[in-house]
Amino acid sequence: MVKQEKSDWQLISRLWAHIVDRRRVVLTTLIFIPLGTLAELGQPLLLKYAIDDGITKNDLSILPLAASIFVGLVLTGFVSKTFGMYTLQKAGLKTIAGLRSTIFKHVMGQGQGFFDKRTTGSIMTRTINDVEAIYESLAWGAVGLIADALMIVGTFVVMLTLDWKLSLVSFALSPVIVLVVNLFRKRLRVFYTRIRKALSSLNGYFAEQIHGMQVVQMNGAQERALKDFRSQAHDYLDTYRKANWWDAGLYAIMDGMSALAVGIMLAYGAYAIGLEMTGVTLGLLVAFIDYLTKVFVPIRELSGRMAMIQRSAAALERVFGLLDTDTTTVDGPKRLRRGSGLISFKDVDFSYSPNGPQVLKKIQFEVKPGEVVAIVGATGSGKTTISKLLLRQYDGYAGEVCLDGIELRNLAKRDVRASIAVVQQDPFLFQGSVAENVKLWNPDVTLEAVRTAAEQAHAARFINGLPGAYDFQVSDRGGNLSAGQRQLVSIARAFALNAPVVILDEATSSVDSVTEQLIDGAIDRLFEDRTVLVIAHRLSTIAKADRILVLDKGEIVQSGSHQILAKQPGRYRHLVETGFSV
Amino acid sequence: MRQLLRFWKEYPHRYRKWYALGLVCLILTNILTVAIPTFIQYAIDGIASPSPNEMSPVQWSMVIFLAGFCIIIVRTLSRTLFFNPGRVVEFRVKSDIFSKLLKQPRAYFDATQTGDLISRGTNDANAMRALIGFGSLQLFNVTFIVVLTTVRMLQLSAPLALYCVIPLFLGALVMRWAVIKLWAYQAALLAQLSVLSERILESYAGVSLIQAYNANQGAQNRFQQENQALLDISEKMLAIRTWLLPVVGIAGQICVVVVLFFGGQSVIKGQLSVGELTAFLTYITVLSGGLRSLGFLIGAFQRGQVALGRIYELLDTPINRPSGSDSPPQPSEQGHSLSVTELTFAYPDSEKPALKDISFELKPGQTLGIFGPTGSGKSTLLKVLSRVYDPAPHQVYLSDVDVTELSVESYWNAVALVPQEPFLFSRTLRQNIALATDGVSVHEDRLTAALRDAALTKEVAAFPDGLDTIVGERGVTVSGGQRQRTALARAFYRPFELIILDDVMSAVDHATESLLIDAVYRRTQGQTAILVSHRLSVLAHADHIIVLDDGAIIDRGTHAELCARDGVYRRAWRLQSQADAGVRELHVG
Repeated sequence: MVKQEKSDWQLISRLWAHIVDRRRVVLTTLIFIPLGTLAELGQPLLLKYAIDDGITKNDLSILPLAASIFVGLVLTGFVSKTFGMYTLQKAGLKTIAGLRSTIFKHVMGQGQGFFDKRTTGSIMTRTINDVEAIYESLAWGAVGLIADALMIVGTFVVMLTLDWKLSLVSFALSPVIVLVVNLFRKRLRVFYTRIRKALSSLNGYFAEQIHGMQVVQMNGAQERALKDFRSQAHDYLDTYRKANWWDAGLYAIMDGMSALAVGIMLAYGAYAIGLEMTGVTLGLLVAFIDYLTKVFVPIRELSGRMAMIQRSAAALERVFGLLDTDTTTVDGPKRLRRGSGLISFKDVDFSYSPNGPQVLKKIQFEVKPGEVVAIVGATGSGKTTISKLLLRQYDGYAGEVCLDGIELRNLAKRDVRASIAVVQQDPFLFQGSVAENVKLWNPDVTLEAVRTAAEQAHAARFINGLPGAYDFQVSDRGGNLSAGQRQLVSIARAFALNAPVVILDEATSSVDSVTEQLIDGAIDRLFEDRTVLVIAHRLSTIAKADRILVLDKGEIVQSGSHQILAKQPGRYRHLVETGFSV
Repeated sequence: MRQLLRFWKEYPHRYRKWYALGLVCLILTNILTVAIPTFIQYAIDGIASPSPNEMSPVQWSMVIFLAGFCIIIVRTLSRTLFFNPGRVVEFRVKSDIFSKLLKQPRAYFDATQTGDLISRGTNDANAMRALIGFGSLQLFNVTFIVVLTTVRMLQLSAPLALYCVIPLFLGALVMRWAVIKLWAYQAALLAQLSVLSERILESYAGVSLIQAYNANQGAQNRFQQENQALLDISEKMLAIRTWLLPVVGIAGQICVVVVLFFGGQSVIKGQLSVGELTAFLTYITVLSGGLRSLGFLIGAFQRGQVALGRIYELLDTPINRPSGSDSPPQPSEQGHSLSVTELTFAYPDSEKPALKDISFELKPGQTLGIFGPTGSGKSTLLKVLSRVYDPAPHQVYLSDVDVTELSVESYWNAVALVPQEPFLFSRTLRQNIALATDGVSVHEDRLTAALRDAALTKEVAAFPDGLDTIVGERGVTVSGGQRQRTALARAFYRPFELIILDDVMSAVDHATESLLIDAVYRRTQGQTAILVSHRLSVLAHADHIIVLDDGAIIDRGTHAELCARDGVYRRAWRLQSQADAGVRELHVG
């Protein structure tokens, strides 16, 4: 338990490296916040002075001075404390934006292995929710803690200096408070965890039922859905009702506490003044009342703030855990200006994880510049893995994968990727204009080049028919374009890159025959003068290939042209007969 | 205001006893809160000028201590009594929202953003609860505190009280303005946060493409743009929160100076005791605290009102769907006949008809095949036939009864639709397939048969928990083909008299396809069926095929008839048979 807490604080201190404007943060913490606290602490003292030396001695003359000093203290306190808090929280905001940016950049640079082990949703939670949690703990927890701790310590010091006996009496109840508050918080923490879970499952259920409403209604499942919903909502309600008692109790205790402390302090004060103890004056009692009503607010917040900071430890652990995982593939030193497009695999062995099954076994083949090679095989035969290695999504293979005779791991990743255009099975479109989707935000690609690429991809006609043509705003994932149109855009993208090598992962989703002919035409054109590796699903494409590699369980079992392979008994013929299962 | 009144009658009213009790406790709490400074005043005055006839300062201190205890008890009670009914109301409002949505037709969901509905059922319900729980508590609280302290201050010294009102009032005004501004920024912040999330999600989902095209810098810039926009809004909010919100507190401190300066003079002149001066100082702290929460209260109230309006808008939307007879026609032994006459249909938000003048007759037990290019209206026709969207009257007849005269619930009891992109819930496979219930537990035999006929048995056995594997967004990822077959099993599980399949075999391989075709034709013996497919091998066995283009029927007949004449159908058949030709060639060679 103690060890756990220690590592929590280690995590928090690691965050320090990410804080923006560190010098300003330190200066503010050392100068402005203490200054503000001092000004606030001085106010009750001034009250005491005015009452003891002025009012009770019937001396009017010091009141104007006391009043103006008081105004000065109020203003100094406000300005320096606010300035301090503002600076710290602003640094917090910037830190968070920076941290989010760091995570985003880190994630976007990762190899595919990183994404295999995580869902997009979980990485999203790291980037958005965990970072938000860290901000909350920084802004409300840490910054507040600094100010509150100074205030509490300052109040104690001033009170002890003024009269230590009276101070001790005032705080006689403090140990009780600490115990009670801790007990309440512990109970509440359990409740709040349950409430958070109940709420998130309720909201999740609600959202999902709305998305699937059609299905619910058409299958007559409304009553059951409502019953499920009500039972989940009731769980949430019940937990909250129980938690309310503890929450209200805690609030009330903190609220009543200052009255209890004032009561005890006044009793002792009256007794002391009655005995004519030195130093205990009316002004002192008034100042103490003022201190006591003020000091309980930060004390009340204290344990909450500590809990908040610790809560961020879980978020920090997840975020740093993410940043510590680095699966980036190596970036080689050699540069490659537009190569000829010669691809070669030499004795390549590969598995996705060290102890995992071998996905590629002794893969050996060559694709000459301008040649079209089709890879066929059942699901899981390893055909997609070959393209993933070429695109530098994984390291850790044995053997050599070469472009123009140079091992990929020795080449700059930029250059490898600039040499290979990939057309994905499920075309991915981004929110933004059609033009942006074709050039993928590359500033070097002119609108003219985008148009040419679209024409080559047979996409120009439908694009020109869209409102705004190339400026037409594609909605999320290309939802406002048809499947066929999305495929045409993704082919235009490959034309715009104008790389010597093309990897085509053939689409399997059904489009109508006319669009299919358009796509076929565009692909034929893409194949001209380029080295092509096609992961094929349709016989018509396979027939166009110069050569076919048949993959089975990670091995190349057959290779040759369609004419030759189709006549031999074997894996290929089996695939043809079963209609190329996807 | 009328809305609030209506809301009060419909929901919190039945908990009025709780609220009344809470109010009593609240009044007690506030009286005690205001009384304590008075007790302090008596104690201080007792110390300054002891008089033997009255209670001693030590006794007054004990009273203060006791009052502190009482506050703890009555405050706990008042908060629980006010907050708990709020939670129950939240529960009832949420249930009512969900139950209303369960009845709304598809057109309603088309016209509203799903995110907006979700936000009404979650965020707005929360804001509404804050209004009747925390909001109403604080409203009473602040009203009592402000009134009681002001009265006490006026009693102690009217001029002194008036001096204090000015800075406090000004402070409250500034604060009110700041809070309104903050709420506006808060809305902008949430909107921007969702834009940023979308952007990040999109980039993560498309990361392999972005990397392959060296587009990381572009993606980075797109992200940074939204990230910066979020930072800008947050900084504006921070400035308001730190510089303007403490204004009431500052005003309170200025009041202390005023009291010290003028009040001090009064004490010396003998018009005010030191105890009274101290009480006055404490009242200022209490009052400025009350005013501070007033600012937030106004914000919470405005937000709660808006939320209430949005909730009522949802609850009051009429269910725009004709009610009809609950007894559908009985099918003949061979099944239902289906007759469509001059059906023309346009989507609610469009003027251009998506279906034009569609007519066909389907005898009991027959199977209709529908073919046509993407966007020709196939799916729309199915949606109208399955009454996802209602047709106009006198256009679609089920066993000679106009479907619009039947209640949609009874119609859906007879019709099973398997959509092209089926929806799976994040629940177990069992719950997903046995979605249609007649109120009792899952029929295991029907489930097993449905699995078998949808060619899922083997794959389900391979799942980590078999039928109890959780699928959907938060569960195991299933392939497109598995998804389609799960939806098919869902239809096979339930009883139906008319089945409608929208291209459900687009993502399965040919071997599975022929298994499924067999199962579908077997299952629909004695039932009427409608099939849409791009794959003509699926349609070949249909009794009647219609070819759609641009929302109209351009050709019709049996498979043999359509292949015999030149047209879209024959051209598609030739293109698709290339694969088969390949296979035939092999067998010959």
